[in-house]
Amino acid sequence: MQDLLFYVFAAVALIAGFLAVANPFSRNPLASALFLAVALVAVSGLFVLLHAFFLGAVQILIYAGAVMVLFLFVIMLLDLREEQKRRARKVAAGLASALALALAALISAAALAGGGPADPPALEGGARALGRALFTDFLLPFEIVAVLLVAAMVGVVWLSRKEAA
Amino acid sequence: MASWTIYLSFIGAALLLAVRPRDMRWVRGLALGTALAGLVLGLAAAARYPADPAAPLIVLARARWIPSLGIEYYLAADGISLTLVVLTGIASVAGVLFSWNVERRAAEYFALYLALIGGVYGVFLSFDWFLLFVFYEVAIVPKYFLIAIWGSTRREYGAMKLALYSLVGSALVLVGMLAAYGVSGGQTFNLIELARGGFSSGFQTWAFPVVFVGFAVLAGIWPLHTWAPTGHVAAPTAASMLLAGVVMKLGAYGALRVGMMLFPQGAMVWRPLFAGLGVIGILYGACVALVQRDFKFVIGYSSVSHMGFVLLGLMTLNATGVGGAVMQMFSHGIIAGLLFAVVGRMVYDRMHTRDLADLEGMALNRVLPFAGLTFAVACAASMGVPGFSGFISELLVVIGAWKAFPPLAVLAGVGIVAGAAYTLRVLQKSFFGDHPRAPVEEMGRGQGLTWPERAGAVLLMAATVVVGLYPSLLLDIIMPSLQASWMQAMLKGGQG
Amino acid sequence: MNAILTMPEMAVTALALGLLVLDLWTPADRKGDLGIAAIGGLALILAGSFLFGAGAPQYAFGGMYVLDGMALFFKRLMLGVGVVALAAALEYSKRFAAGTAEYCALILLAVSGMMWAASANHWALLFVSVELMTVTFYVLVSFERTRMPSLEAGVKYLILGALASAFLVYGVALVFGGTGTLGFAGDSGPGLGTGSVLVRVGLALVLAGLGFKIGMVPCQFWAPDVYQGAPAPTAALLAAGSKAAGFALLLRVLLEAAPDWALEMRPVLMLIAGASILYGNLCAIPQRNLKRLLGYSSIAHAGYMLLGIVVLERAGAAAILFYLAGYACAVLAAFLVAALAFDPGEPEEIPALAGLHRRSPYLAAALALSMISLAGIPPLVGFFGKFLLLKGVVLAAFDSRSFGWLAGVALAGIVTSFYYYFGVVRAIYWSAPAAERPPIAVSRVAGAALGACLVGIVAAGVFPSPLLEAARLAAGALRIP
Repeated sequence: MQDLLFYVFAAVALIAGFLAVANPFSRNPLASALFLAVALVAVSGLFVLLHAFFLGAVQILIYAGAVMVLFLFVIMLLDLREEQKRRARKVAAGLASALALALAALISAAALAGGGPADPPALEGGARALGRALFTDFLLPFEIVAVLLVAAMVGVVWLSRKEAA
Repeated sequence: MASWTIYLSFIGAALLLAVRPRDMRWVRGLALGTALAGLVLGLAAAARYPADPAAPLIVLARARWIPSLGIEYYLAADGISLTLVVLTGIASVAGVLFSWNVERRAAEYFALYLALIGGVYGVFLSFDWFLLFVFYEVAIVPKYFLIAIWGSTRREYGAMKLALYSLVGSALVLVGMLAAYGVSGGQTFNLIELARGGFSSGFQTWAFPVVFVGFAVLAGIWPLHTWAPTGHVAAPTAASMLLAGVVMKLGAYGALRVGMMLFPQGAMVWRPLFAGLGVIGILYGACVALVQRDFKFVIGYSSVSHMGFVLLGLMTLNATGVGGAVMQMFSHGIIAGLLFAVVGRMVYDRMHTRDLADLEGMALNRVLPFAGLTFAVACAASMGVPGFSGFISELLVVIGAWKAFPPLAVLAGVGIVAGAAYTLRVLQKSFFGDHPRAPVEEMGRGQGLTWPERAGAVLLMAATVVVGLYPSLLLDIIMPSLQASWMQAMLKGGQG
Repeated sequence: MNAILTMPEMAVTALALGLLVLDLWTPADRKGDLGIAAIGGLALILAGSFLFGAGAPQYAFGGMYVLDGMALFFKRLMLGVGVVALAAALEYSKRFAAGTAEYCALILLAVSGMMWAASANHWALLFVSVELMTVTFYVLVSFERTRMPSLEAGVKYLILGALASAFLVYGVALVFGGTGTLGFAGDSGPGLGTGSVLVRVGLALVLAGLGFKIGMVPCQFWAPDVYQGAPAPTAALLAAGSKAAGFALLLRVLLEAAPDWALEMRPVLMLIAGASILYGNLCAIPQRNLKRLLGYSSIAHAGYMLLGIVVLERAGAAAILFYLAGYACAVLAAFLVAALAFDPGEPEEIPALAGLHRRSPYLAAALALSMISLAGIPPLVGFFGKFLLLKGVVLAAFDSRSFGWLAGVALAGIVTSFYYYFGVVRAIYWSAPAAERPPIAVSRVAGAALGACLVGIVAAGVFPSPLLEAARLAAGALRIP
């Protein structure tokens, strides 16, 4: 059952991800955004399968929820019809696909070859376990991420503020 | 004391750059003073040499520089270095005198000039390979700028060509240096210790050509000589004097001091090839000089030809030939200085042409009689007329070559004859043209030579005549240093 | 808990945050003082870092954070770079009308990211510190938001930076999947050993991600565009600081965490090094823009420094550390001049440098020295760095012929580079200026920062021993043969 679910979620994530980037039926950014949301939801399903319940929930709340809403706002506020008309350059697209395929092949080969640790750690991913990990073992990276967010915020404020008259 | 030749030159250069005196007299005075001080120090050191025949090396300064790599700050001198130090002193004083009319950015000009001199002194006095390499490279930058900023015909091309050739050469030297350092155990760059330690003959066989060619590029070895004529022609007068007179000697000196001293067996293996290239250089330079229309190109190719004698002499691997090669370095340094001074400063700055066909119609011997005299003396010395320094040095080289490779000695003799041919041709065309196109009085108006030119010419002429009449002045300091234990391995091969 | 070890990073972060807070109460005409305060504070932290001795490695946060000789060396280097970059920023930010404090604070945050990276002994810390740098640089690159090239460069850096981060994080995930641990080595776990296919592929992805930071082929495409478009102080920090942080991580990962894998990958690394040298040098030849030229040359310099990695020994690592310090001095000086010598909005064209020696002899001499040092002419520091790197490669050539080829490529690159570096010097000293331009006034701060770089270029070139000893000591902390 778990395996079946894994394949379903993974397939949905892959297909939706592909459609978000290169949709043969529509070049509407809105469609891309919605497929991205689908992919994100599928990934959150994968998190749940890994017993990472908290991450799964956060994935839906933040990415599929808040971030997607922002995306949609931006798409609707800006006039993106130009984007729709633009044709992708064939050579670049081909090259990118080839690279992506090669990378995918490499990673799948690595994954199929296996070779992980003999005794994988027990899966636990509730809010309590995650919180404990973040504030004990991973305290330092966690705090640095906080600083990173400050930097990002300062940057966003600076880049987006109105020019002083 | 002789190490102060280096420091004084760099101090002079730094002073000129830092102070930038507005008054031209200060600029020239400082430059001349520095150059003169270097000459006096060099002469004083040479006069005292060899204080003790058992110790052919005078240690000037020795300190640990980069201890973890075994790199030393090791300045020392033997007769060969001192000969070339004196040459540098003479050429640098004369160069300042012949640069008296440089007005544009004179402080920078003389600063770069002195920096070049300092680097040259440094190469001649270094007995640590790394240190020698550093000085060798230090000289590249001022050389480049002297040509590129103050030069004439196609100066940027000439400057870049010279710089790139030098850099390729030093890249080869660097490879050889690192390899030798690694093979010897990674303890020292000290040339004498490396020579004493010795290298396996297999290593020498490939290291010698790398290092030798790396240095010989700057000595104008055929077929890597092509930078020399263009560089000489592009350079301002004093720079071409230094370039031909001293910088080419850097290459030859490096080839001798490093390539041959460290890898005697390699030299033995390769000497037919390089001796052959030397002879080709002699003949090729002479033939090309014979057909040039540009006065300065004639002199440029004559340098290639004369440096061929140096290479041939070095490759004889016997005391006569090598001693002759060192003599020839000195002699050619002086003569090339004279020739370029006449062409670039005395003639070109006044007549604004270097085309021999034009000069033929100017009767320069009557317009500029002193220049005519100077040029005649220079030509005589260059042809190897007895009584001038060129005679004795080329004679020694040919004798040395006769011991080692008789056929090449014959060809070198042919080269001397060809040298006489192009020298006489250029002498006749430039100064003794028969058909003046305008009255001599008109052309000569306000064209008299200035005192610095006369002083510089007299200095150089005196040097070539004194050494020509009394060669043991130099031979007495060159020959004892060839007896040093670290030079003997090299000379053993050439006795036969 | 050895949290005290992280004092320098914490202090830099606190300085940045303090700067942002103080900015609220500072009147517009006194913003410059904030920059001075930032410089002073950073210099103080640099001085304070000498309180830490380079003894045995010390660990904190469960082995995640290591303070050893190498980390300390890099931190001092980055703090020094930060001081100079701040001085440049202070000068440059006069063009922004506002935002001095933000610019300085972001530079400080980027510096703190680099310092964390220098101490990373754990994949999580590695990734987070790289991200702190990268995200800060997104903003720093596009900081001149009224100038199109700056924004364009920002977007380029954003897209390619995000791609590199993706590689990095994917690689970390695979390595974690293969080993079950996130620590590199030492206290927190064993080295990776040869590892499974999973680990190898993961490490290859990590290499690609870090390769972006150092600008090696084939992850170099962003460098010229970003260097050209970014404000000069940002570009200076990218070249001197970000590259150093990338090398700090690369040394840790390749030589300490996965030496076996590095040995296995040696041919690939050699290929990358040679390709970077050739690509950077050949593409730099036709450039007309000073910053773009430095962008291409930075690729070549990354290639030179990789020579120190491929020999896989301590001496090579020491050579990299030495080279990085020298490169930082030279490239900082060059960008400082680029920040000062051009008018706001003017593209940094090399021909426009004509007559610089009359407008400001100091700037002209500084740029010339920096170029000559980058070209590797003695007695400047660039020469000795190249000498050390080449020494390793030539000595290795006795064992393997392929190193001989690599040495040849490197030498060819060095000779080629002479051409374009001297092109810059030529433009400064003897091109005729198109129009007479006013002299340049160099402020005291910028002048002092430039002076510090020049002293570094000359002093470390003439007396390389102290810096070399420091680098050897630092490299001695690496657990490799």
